Amino acid sequence: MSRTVTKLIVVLMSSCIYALSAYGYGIEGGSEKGVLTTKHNMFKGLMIEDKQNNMEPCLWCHIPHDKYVGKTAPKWNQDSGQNFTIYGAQDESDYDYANRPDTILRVCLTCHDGINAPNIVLSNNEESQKHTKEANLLGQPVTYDSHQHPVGRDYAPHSVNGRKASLKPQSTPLLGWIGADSIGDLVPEGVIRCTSCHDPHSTSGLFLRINNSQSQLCLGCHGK
Amino acid sequence: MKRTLFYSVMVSIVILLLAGCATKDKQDFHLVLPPPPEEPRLYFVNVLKGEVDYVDDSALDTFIGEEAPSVGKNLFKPYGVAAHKDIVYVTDTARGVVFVIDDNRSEVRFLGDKPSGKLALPVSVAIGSDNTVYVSDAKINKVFGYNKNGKLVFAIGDSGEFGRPTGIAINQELNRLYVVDTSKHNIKVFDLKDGKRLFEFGKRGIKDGEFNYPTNVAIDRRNNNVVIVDTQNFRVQTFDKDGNFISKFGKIGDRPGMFARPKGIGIDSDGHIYIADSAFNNIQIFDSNGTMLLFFGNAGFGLGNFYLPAGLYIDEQDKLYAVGSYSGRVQVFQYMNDAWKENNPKKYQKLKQLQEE
Repeated sequence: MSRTVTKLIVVLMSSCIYALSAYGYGIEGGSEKGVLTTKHNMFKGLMIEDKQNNMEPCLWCHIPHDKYVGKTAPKWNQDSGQNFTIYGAQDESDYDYANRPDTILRVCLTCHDGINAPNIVLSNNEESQKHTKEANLLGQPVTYDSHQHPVGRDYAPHSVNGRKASLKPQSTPLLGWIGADSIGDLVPEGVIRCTSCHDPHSTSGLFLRINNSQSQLCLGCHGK
Repeated sequence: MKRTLFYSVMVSIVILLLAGCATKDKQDFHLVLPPPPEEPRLYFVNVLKGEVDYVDDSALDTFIGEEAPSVGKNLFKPYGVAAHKDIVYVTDTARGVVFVIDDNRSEVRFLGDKPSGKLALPVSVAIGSDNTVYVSDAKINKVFGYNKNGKLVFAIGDSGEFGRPTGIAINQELNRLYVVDTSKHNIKVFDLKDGKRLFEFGKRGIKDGEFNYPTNVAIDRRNNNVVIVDTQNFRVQTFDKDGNFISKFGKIGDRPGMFARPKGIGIDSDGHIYIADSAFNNIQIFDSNGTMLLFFGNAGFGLGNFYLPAGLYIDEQDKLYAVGSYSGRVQVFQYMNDAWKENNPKKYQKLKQLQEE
């Protein structure tokens, strides 16, 4: 391994500590180059001389923590000096994943609003499905750049919907997928998220964990 | 390890419920910012969701932050907002229309749903001096104008004119339209009289006056300054009306005064700058020098909380309109400047008393 590559990896390792610690998505599957060269590096194409921007590949999603020590409190509220809760991070022990987007989904949605990046409209719960149908009835375009696959939903092969969708068991091994050896790796906490199919750190087309030629992406989880 | 990222949630707002509040009177629910014993600066006025606002029996549910059963056509994934004389215009990026929520007539109308001037991805909305409603569309790459009957009366954006027009704001005094072009990293300025482009300013970069995916814009009515949210540089930049750089504030980070995903911007009559941040699900208020004054909100559906907040707008009466894109609603707050406090002594005293209770 050349010295430049080693250096690059060291820089990325130190700056991507949030990635590793937070969600277990690491610098794997060629992703060390990935973020730098893809759209997920929002400085891509910019020549930045500033040294402090060494963290640039990660900070778009992994917001650097700033220690709140001796800082000035907001003038109108002297009591409120404290760090913000990033992405509305919640105590996940009893979180209702199935009905609300959890932290990992919201990370994506903060940029994927149609303005900064292609719009993602969640159509995972009944409420929003009702909206979608309603939009159809009114002759509206359902959504632009919308995403039809459910997210924020339990991966449940034995449920009625799971059987309808021919979902395979979580233990099913996966070959050639970025960052996953089995379906279980795609659905941490048993929840389907954007990151089930996409690895935002990868360089692959549409950030897919495996390209979908001959439907191999779909067939990872669906029997047919 | 994972838990170390999750800070304890700080509730920096006070929700005061008066006794015997089981009526539909919206004024029975009070939220005053900041919490006591600080001087009150803002109070919660209203929440808007669409047609459900004008259906009986659902108001109470809406107010205590629970999801009311869906009735009629309501906001689904709203982004931009503007208001004039209690008529509120909200873009919906999922439905591809602008909601016109008219409290005077207790009804909801739509813009951009007819073949002429049909919208695809409406982002931002602004109101001209003749009440023409201007809407940017990030998919069609045009800015449209509609008259009060919803008829298309204005369109700019010939092929190649815009990369991706997003935030827009109008200086009514100069009759100028400022359009943020997110993918070209600049601001284009048009004369509304004839739709001609006057000039543009900014280019991609991190230096003063440069942008990295800017998104939203507001005008400081006191001095005609143009304030731009430079989203992927995590900062706010102020220019004069002709695009000359004046000042900037903000950097990436998670403590008050810092930004991660700054989006909507509003400026009140005292020149305070309000910025919505969708990563923090809050609104931060600064003075025009960038000094931090107040922040409020956390992720949630309750009053004063936001889910993926997007556009902001402050009208001539200092009403703040704040869009929650995932919560599908607009929350309305009143900023109380000194003149407001003088003109509304009873209301002001009531709010102060509420704080003391």
